Amino acid sequence: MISEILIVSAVILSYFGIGFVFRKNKMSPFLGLEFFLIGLLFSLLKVNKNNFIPLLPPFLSAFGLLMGMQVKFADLKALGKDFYKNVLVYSLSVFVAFFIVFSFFFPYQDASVLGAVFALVSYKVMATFIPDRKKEDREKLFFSAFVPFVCIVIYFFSAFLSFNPNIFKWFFVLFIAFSFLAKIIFSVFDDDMSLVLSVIGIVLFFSELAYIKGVSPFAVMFFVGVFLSNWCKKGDKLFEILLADEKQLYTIFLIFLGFVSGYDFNLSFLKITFVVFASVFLAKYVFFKIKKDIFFLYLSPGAFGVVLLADYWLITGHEEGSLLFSSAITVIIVLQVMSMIFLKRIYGKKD
Amino acid sequence: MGKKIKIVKILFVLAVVSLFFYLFKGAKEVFYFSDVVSPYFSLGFLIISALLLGLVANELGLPSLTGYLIAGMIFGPQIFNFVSQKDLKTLELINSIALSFIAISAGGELKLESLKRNAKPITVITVVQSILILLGVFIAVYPFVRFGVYIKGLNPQSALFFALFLGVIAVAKSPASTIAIINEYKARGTFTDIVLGITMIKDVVVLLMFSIAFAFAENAITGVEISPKFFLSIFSHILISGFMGIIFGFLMIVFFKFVAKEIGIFIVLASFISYKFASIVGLENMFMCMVAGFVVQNFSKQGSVLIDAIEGSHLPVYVIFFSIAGAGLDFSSLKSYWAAVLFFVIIRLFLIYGTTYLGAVISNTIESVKKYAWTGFITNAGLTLSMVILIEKDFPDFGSLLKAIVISVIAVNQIIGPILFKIGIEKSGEATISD
Repeated sequence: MISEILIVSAVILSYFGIGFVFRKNKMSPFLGLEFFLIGLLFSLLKVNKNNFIPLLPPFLSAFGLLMGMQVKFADLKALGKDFYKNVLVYSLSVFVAFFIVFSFFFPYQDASVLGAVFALVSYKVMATFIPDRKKEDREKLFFSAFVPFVCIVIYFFSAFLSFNPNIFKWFFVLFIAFSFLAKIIFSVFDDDMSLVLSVIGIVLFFSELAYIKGVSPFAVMFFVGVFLSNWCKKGDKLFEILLADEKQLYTIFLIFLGFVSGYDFNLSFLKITFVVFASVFLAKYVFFKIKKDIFFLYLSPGAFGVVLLADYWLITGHEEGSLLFSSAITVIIVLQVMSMIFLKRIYGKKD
Repeated sequence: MGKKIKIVKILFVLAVVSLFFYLFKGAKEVFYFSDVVSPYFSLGFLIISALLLGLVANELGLPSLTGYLIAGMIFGPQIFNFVSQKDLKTLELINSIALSFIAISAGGELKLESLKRNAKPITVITVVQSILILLGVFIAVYPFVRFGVYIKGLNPQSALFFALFLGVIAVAKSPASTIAIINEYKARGTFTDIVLGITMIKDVVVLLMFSIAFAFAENAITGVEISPKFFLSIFSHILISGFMGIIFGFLMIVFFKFVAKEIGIFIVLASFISYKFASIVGLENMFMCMVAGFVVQNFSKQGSVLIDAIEGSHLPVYVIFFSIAGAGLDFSSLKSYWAAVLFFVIIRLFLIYGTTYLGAVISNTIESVKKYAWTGFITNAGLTLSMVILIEKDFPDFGSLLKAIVISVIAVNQIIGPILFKIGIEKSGEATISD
């Protein structure tokens, strides 16, 4: 019992304290990933972590819903062909390069998911440094904001690579049912507070159901989000609600994830981490060298990469101290720190 | 949209969501991850159904929390069992956190200035209520149990303590629904302050009364001696709870002053710590949290920060707390003891009305308190339940019968209490939001 108090007290201290310390010392290379490290420290406590696993699907669903709600078909028409071409060339070529390299070391499904995750570009990293005044800056920001959607689609197909007809069937059943139910539930509520609460209810209800059926809570809610964004009158309002709590959700999620996932430091871990890191670094370096762009801008997949990895880890058995998961997250953190440090040197003190 | 059409639409949505839930929950299939079937699945459904029935209640001119309670009752273990006893056991923690949150909010609503201004009516009504309700219930119940009318088979001693405990239980009330109704209708004024003040003090008074009655019962029935040490321990228990509440309050002030962000999240986390701490050390969590809220409101400049944060997040807390509370209500004994339950509910209502009126007349307070303050003292829940559980454990010969009756009484009072208090607040003219 006392350990539960300690955990929550430590969560409070880290949640409220770490941001303060980082801000005061003008250091933000982790951009939120420090909360994952805090969670990792808590994972050293001898507590039954299985009870905390069901807390992850609601967070993943909320992120999926939030991402899905940004996809507005009407807005997509406004983007030019060149833009789509740029995004697709980058996403697919980098993904394929990663997939080829990773498939030498990992099963195809894992290699494919890792490819999708590391093809991501962190909008947050870019937005920290790039001013959005010039046209080319705005294009870069747009690019980094759009790449994740392509990666989500790649991730979605990657997760279904080892085809399980039962899960595949449930994915479509749940997607259709969730979309319909969410639409009729939201149609009843008008005031902001009720909408917030109905979002909480829906996220809890749907995410746990998807999870216990073996379906990715993130993926199914992403498509529900796309549906709501385009065919639900309160789509914009719902998006505002989710966006308002995004930062807090990420923070708490990263602490919990670090706590339940745990690390297993050994030689295999170091080897996998090195392989993943070297592949990502080299592939992105080569690609942006050819494009004559600063590759540090595109190096880190950011916290969103952690979300996709967590989703995959969850639906593939959530083994504590999973080597692949631990290594991939370590690489994400290292890339994030590297890109932030180098970009700070290049762009000065904007953060 | 017309009222009727809106209600039909909401009920249709509820029916569809329930059917969907039933199809999945009801199907006896093996889940993919059967190791961790989570109660949050049921909680999500409960939140949605409570929100929907809360809307229906509003449309019918009833407080939302009546809708939340009914949702819990319908979908809880008693009727549809969508939320099972096992789920409720796991959700107990969330419920306790919500209760701590509500207690902090209750303390935060109390202003020292208004307490001082209304000290006389608060004290007089509390004293008159506590003594006369206890005596009234005892006098009304004792002859029935002593002479075996309706409730048979109790020996004279058991009959005596059965009536005495019922008297103490009749005095108890639930602060949660009072504060929820006050918040929902944004009630402000003397009437509200007096009801809140009595609510806060009564928790301590009932605790003292119960401890004394319990000690006498143990002495008479099981032969445990009553020593001055026992009474000292009761007082120190309450005093330490109050003292810890003060420390907890000052810690909150420090946070509000120096960090002052994500206050809603902070209060929820602090509620968890307070609940866990109180259960480990064995303190009165409700009282501790009320004192903490009171300290923040009255001994710092951060009172408005606390109230604003609470107002911003009270809906989720109330929906979760009252729907889980509704699911936990057990009215299965109503069938067997309906006459005893009805008798007790009516006698208690009559006594609450009479004693509140008398207390208000003696203290010469405002008219609305005389007429309507009694409506704020009807619901009883957590504290009452804890008392009957203790009685059942130590005095099994009459404890289980007492528990069966009181649990049904709680269920009835939980439904009628908020409705009556809503009417009371509206009639007092202190509700700033009306239907």
